[in-house]
Amino acid sequence: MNSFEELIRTCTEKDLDFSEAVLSLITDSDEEKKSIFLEMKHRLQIMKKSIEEGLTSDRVSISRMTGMNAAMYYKRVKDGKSLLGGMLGKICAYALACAEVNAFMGVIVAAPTAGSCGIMPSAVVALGEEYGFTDDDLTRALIVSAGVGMVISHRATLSGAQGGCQAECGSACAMSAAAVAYLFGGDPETCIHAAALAVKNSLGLTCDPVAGLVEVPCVKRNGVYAVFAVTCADMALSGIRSVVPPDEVIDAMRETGEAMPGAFRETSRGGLAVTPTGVKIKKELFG
Amino acid sequence: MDASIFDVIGPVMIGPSSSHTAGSARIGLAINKIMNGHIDSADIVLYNSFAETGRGHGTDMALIGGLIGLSADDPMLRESFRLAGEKGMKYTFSLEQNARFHPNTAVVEAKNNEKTVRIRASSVGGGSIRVNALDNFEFSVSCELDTLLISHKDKLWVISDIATQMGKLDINIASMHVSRQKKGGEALTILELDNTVSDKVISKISNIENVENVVYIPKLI
Repeated sequence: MNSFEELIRTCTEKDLDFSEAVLSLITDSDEEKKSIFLEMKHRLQIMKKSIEEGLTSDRVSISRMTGMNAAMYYKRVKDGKSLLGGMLGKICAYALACAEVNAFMGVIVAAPTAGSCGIMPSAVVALGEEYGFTDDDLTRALIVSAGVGMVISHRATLSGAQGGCQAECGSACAMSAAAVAYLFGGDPETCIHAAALAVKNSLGLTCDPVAGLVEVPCVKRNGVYAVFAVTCADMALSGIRSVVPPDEVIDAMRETGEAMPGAFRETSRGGLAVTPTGVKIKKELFG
Repeated sequence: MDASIFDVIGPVMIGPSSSHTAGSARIGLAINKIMNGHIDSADIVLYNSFAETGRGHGTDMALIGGLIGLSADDPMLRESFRLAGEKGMKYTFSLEQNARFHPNTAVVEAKNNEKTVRIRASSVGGGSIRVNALDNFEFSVSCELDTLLISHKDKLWVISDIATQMGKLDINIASMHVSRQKKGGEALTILELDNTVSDKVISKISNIENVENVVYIPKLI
């Protein structure tokens, strides 16, 4: 999966739907394609369980920095008070839920990483509930999002240590934007441009977690970026296109990450991690 | 990096960190498989970033969990220290820095009543691992395919016999890496395979002339 251009070309030349194109670039075997589909559908069920656990559990992380934020926000959504409206509010709550389950060492599906695990699944699961998409529809959307992630991993990176949070939450946001656009009938070009808008607007995002834990700002960032992805998908679905071609946007993300100081690439030596409170928390937890 | 589809949407894991928790658990599990599922004692050195962020991300907890046979998505990983105690597996941890090694590296000396091995492995991101050394041999194995580590003497026909045997058993070789300590000395052939390896296969390979030991790591999911 070398480029978005290749993906789009595969769709048009072979007259394939985006998810079929992704599968065809992985394998020629129909049996393997079926097996990948089934495993992806299984992972969708795990994502649903993670969300459910995050919304209903009273567990907090060992550090006690996170836990129950998802439940608190979800209550606001259910009480009809969310300024985002019911659907986007749900997506935000679901993303917080996944991220909190990750923080308290529950079971999650990394997508593409554990720290960003709420961003894409929240949209896919919430939209499934709100719009009645079947599990097969949602599984196809997951495959679309995986295709986007695979291109990013080839051209840039999915790792915070190499690319900062652009590579983790930025990539997850791109994956989600493409999945959302796909579910609402976006053609391959629309889905790719949705992803490009997501990456473009997370360039320079740093990874500076407090006390080195995957909690602050990670958990709440999942909530923010989950909603952000829908913005990107919506703009692309209206016909808006990224002026900088999608493959070039990913290349820019890679170069930006390479130029980023180490202090902002998952070392907790900069930003939030070294605020007075960040330093205090680290000392309290680890001495 | 070139992630596979289930590297991107996966692994299914216990949080909080794909590289420091899931990767660590998978390293432990690979070593558990190398030791045929039973380890009496493990002396563990964590290096670099693994050493620095280990505690908060449960690196040590996950590694111990893997060593006692738990997979990266098993909630019992959170109880691994207690479970290791119940199983009677002794362990020690030390923390070091080594610029030659990947930022997330562990070196484990594992013992059971059959053998003692020293293994170096790294967690390279997103839960993926590389086993990089077994005693004096260095290589890079991801454990994403069934893998055989075959120790033998560096003599004529051994490699050919191994490959022929695989063909007879209908097992396709995805990759093959051969190395030796010195000409005519100890050698290691690593095969990554497309098909599952049964005890019968291990037995047939073990019986090849000049093959000394066969270690099997089933693919880690």
